[in-house]
Amino acid sequence: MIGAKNSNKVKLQLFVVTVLLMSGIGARGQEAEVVHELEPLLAKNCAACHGPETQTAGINLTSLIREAPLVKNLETWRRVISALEVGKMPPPGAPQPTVAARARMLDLLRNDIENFDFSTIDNPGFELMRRLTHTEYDNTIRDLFGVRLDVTERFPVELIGNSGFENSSNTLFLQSSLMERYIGAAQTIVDLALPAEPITAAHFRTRELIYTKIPDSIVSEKEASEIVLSNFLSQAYRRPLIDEELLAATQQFTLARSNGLSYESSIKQVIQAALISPKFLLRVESGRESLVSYQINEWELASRLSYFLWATMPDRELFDLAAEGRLSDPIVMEQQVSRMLRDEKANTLGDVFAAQWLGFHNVGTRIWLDPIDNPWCTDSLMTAMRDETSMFFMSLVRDNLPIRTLIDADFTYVNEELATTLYNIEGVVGDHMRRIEVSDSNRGGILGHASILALTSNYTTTSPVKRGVYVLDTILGTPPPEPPPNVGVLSQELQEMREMSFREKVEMHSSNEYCRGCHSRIDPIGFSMENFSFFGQWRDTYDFRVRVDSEEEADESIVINTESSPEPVTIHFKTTKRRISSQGSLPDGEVFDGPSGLKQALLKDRYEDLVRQVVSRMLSYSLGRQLEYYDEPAVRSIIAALEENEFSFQTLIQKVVASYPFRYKKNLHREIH
Amino acid sequence: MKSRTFSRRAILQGVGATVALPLLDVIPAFAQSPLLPDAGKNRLAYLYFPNGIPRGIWYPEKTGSSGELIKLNEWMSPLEPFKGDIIIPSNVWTPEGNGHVDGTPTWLTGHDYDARAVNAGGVSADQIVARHLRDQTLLPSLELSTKGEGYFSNSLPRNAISWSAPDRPMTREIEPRTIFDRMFSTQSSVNSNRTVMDSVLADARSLSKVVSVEDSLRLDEYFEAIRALERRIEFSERQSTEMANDRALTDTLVAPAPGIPADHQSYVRLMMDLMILAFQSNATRVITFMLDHGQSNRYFNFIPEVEGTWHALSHYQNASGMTEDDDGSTSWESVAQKRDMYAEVVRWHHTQVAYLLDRMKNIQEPDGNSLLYNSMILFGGGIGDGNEHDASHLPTLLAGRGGGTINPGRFIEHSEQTDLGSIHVALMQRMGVPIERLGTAQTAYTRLI
Repeated sequence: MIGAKNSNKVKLQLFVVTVLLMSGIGARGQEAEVVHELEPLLAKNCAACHGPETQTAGINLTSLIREAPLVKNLETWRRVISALEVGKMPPPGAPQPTVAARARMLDLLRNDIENFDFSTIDNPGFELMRRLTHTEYDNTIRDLFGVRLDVTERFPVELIGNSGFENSSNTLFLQSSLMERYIGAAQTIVDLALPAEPITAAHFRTRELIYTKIPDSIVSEKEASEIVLSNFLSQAYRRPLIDEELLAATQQFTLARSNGLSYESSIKQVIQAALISPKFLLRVESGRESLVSYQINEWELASRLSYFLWATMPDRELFDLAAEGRLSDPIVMEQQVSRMLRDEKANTLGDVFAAQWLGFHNVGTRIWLDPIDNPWCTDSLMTAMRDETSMFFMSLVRDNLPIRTLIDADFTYVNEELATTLYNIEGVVGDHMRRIEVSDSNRGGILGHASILALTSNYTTTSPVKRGVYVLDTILGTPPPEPPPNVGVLSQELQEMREMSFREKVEMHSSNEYCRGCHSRIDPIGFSMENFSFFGQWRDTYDFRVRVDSEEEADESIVINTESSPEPVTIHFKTTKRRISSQGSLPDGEVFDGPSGLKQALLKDRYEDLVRQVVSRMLSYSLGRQLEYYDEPAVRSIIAALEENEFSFQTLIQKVVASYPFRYKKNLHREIH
Repeated sequence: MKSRTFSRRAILQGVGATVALPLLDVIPAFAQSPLLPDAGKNRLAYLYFPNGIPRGIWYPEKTGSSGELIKLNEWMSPLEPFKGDIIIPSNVWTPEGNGHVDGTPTWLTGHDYDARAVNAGGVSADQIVARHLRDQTLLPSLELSTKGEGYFSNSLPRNAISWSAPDRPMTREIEPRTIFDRMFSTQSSVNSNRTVMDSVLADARSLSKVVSVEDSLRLDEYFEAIRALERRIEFSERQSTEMANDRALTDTLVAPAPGIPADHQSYVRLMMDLMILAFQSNATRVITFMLDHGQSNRYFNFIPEVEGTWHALSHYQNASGMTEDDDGSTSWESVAQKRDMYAEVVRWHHTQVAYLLDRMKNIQEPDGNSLLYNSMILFGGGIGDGNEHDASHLPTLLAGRGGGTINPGRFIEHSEQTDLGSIHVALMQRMGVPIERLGTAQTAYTRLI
C-alpha cells in the first residue's frame, strides 16, 4: 500500500531528525556554558561599541552571542576572532582587556566554533529561484537555436555582491527595465535566427533545429505544430511539458494562424512568447510541502549539472537520461560529469568560474592601461592573459591534476605576443595559445600568471599589500580584517620601502600600531612577489628614472617642444638600479625567498586552507549562492574525499555534484536542525 | 498660449552628437501633455557623486544675517548665478552606513548596509516616491548612471543607490540612447509585444502553483516587472494619438546616437538633457543620476592642471604618489596642490550641475513657472572629507523651489548634526508621499521654507 509506505518513510525521517537532535544535546549543554562565560567578557570589552546601544559596523555582539549555535554566524565570529587575534579590537585608545581575558575569549570562541559538531546539522539549504545570468542566457539561446547571437551585449551589466559570482541568487534581480530587454531580445532572436527567407548556412541549421516536422500532404499543420512546439518548449523550459502547456501553446498558434499569420510566423510568435516566460528566464525548481529535506528531481538535476559545468541548458543526452529516470544514479552521473568535462562547453569553468573567483575576468576591462602611453597593452594581449589562466585552469580539470598544481605547475599557455611581451620567452610563434613547459620555478602556477599579477597591482606599480591580501583572501580564504573605516590613506611609501631591508619593511607600520597588527601579516607575502612587475614581467632590480640637470650625469636625454618655450627643450634622465630583496613570510611562518619560496611555503603550511577555499568556491558557484554554516558538513565530506584521491580536480567536481546541498533542498521557512 | 512659448528645439539643444530617427517610425510612446492633470507638479532628482570633498569647500564665503547666500566660495563659483535657487545645509550626516561601500547603497535609505545579505535596510527615498506616483507617469522612475571605469565598476554596493525593496537594487541605465528609447519607443514594437505578453502571462500564472512559497516571492518579482510594463503600454496607448498629432514635438525629437560619448562632459550633459526631457515630457517625475560609482577611479585629466584618479585625489593628505591608492605614475608637489586638484574635480561637477539648473530655469512650465521652480534637486554624496572617509559634514545641496514649498537662497547652519534622512523625508512629503520617517531619521526636516 503506497499510503502506508509513505507514512513509514515520514516516520523514519522524523526518527532520524529526533536522533540527530538528541545527539546534539551534549554539544548544546557545552555551548550554553561557553555562552555563559563569554557573555560578561563581551559585555565588558566590546558592548560599548558593539552592543544594544551602538552597533559599529552593524555588529551587535550582545544579541549575537544569544544566537545559538555560534557557528550560525560563523563569518562574523571569525571576524571577531581575527580582530581579537591581531589586536585590532578593542581599538587602541579604548580600554583593553587583560592579556588573560583576551586569550580566554579567543579560546572560548575558537573552541566553540572549531569543535562544533556539524553532524548535528541536517540542512542542504535552499537555492532561491533565480534568473539566468546574461552569460547563461546567451549560451542557452545558442543551444536552442544553434547560433550564437549574444543579444545581452547592451543589457545592464551584471553586478557582483559578496558571493563573488554573477550567478548568485541574491544579486540576480528581475526589474522591469530588464524585462523590457528580454522582451526586445525575444523579438530580435526570432527575427535574426528564423528569418522568413533563410540565406546563410546558420539560418538553415536553425530551421532544422526548430522545424522538426514540416506539414505536408500526410502531416497536418496542427500535428506538425504540436511536434515543433512541444520539442521547442520542453527544451526551453528544460523539462517535459504538461498537457495544459502544450494545449495553451497550440491555441496560441491557432489564434495567430486564424489572424492571418503564416504557419512559420505563428510558430515564431509562440516561441517569442516562450522566451519571455518565467519558465525560460528563471531556473524553476518545483517546490514541495515538506518539513524535511527532499531530493530535487531528475530534470532539475540535469539543469543544475549543465548550468554548473557548462553555464547553459542540458543537452539531449542529459534530457534523455532524466526522462529515463537514470541521471540521479551515482554511476550514471559520474559518467555524465566526465563526459561533460570533456565537452568544449565546460570551458566556462575557466572563463566564468575561475575568472570570477580569481578576478581575471576584469583583465582588459577594469584592468587595463591606456594604449597611447603603453602601446604594448593591446586588446589581444589582454585576451591572451585571460586565456592563459582560463586554459590553465581547464587543464587542471581535464587532466585531473591535484589542487596543488594551481599554485605550482611546470606548464602554462601562451601565444607569441604574451610570451615575448611579458614572459621573455622565445621561440613561440603565432597568435594561437599553446601549452608550453615552464622550467622556471618562480613562474609556474597562477601566482606567476600575468593576469593575476596585473589584477593585484595598482595601475603601473606593484602593490605588496594587494598581493598579500589576494593570497590570504582569494587563494586561501582567510581574509585579513577589513581596514578600519576611517583609517584614511595607507601611508605606505613604496619608494622608501624599496630601499629597505626585509626587516625594516615588515616593521614599516610600527609607527602606527593600528596598522601593524594586520600589515605585518599581509605585506611580507607581497614582498616575496616583488620580482614580478605590475604586469608580471620578471625584474631583478627596481629602476628609478629621475630627472637630472646636466648631460654629464644623464644616461638618457630627450628633446621636447613645450608651450612655454619657443625653443625645443632637452631633458636629462638618469636611471639608477637597486636590487630587489624578495624575502617574505606567511603569517606566523618562516622567512623564505621569492615567488618560488612563497609557493613552497603555501603548499607546505597552508595547503589545507587552499583546498578548503577551492572546495568552498566551487560549491558556492555550483549552488548559485553563498555558503552558510550548514554547508560545513558538505565541505568537510568533499575535503575528506579529496584526501583519499590525491586532491584531484575531477574528484572535487564529482564530489561537489554528489554533495548533499547539490542534490537536495529544504524549504527555507521551516528550518529545523 | 504662454505654456507653449518655450522652444522645443531648445530641449534637445544639448543633445550633442545625435542621429535623427526616421520620423515615420517614431511615434513617441509618450511625451509632455498639457492636458494631463498632473503636468507641472513637483519633480524630484537626486544627483549622487562619490569620493567626498576636501573639508571646508562646501561653505559659502559670505552670508547675510539670516543665512542668505551672498557669495559662494571659489570652488562653488559655477553655482554663483543660481545662489538664489539653492539651499546649502551644513553639518549633515548619516548615523549609519558610511564610506565607499556602505555609504553608497544607503545614501537614500538612511540605514546600514548588509553586504552578505545584499540589504540596504529599506526602500530608498526615490523608490518610495516612485511607488507613490507610479500610475501617474510613463515610467515610475528613471535610474541613471555614468558608465563605470576602473576597479569596482561591477561592484554591487558601489553601483546601487535605488532600492525597490531592501534587498533589491534598481538596474541603472548608462546609455543615452537606451534611456531615450525607454521614453519614446516605437509604436510597432509596443503592439507586437503586447500580444506576446498577454499570451505568456496566463501561462506564467500557472507556475505559482508549482513552486515553493519562497520561490513564489521571486515569481512576484516577475509579475511586478510585467505589470509595470503593462501600465506603461496602457499609458502610451492613451497618449499615442495625441502625441502623433503634436507635430511640434515629433518634428524635433532627435534620438541620441547609440553608445557612450567619449567626452565625459558631453556624456554627463547628455544624461542631464535626458533628465530634463523626462521631466518636461512627464515621462517620469523621479530621477536618480549617479555621476559615478561609489569609489570612482576616473581620471579627470581633461580638466587643466588636474592629474591622477578621483579616488586617489580624495586621499589628498599624502601627495607622494606612492600610496596604495595611487596609479604609480602620478605624484604631486604638495598636499595643497593635490587638495586643489581634488577640489577642482568637485568644482567641475558644480559646473555640470550649473548647466542643469540653467536649462531648467529657462524652461517654462504650463503654470508659468520654470521647470526648476517646480523641481527639487538634491546634489550630494555619502562621504564628507574624502581623505578621512568622514561620515559627517556630507556635501549636500538642494536646488529648486518644489513648486513654491521651498524657500531657497540660503545657507542653513546647524549647530547639531542633521540626519540626511530627515531632508529625504521633507522632499518625499513635497512629492505628496505621506511619510514621517526614513531610516534613522524620525522626523521631517523643517527648515526648507
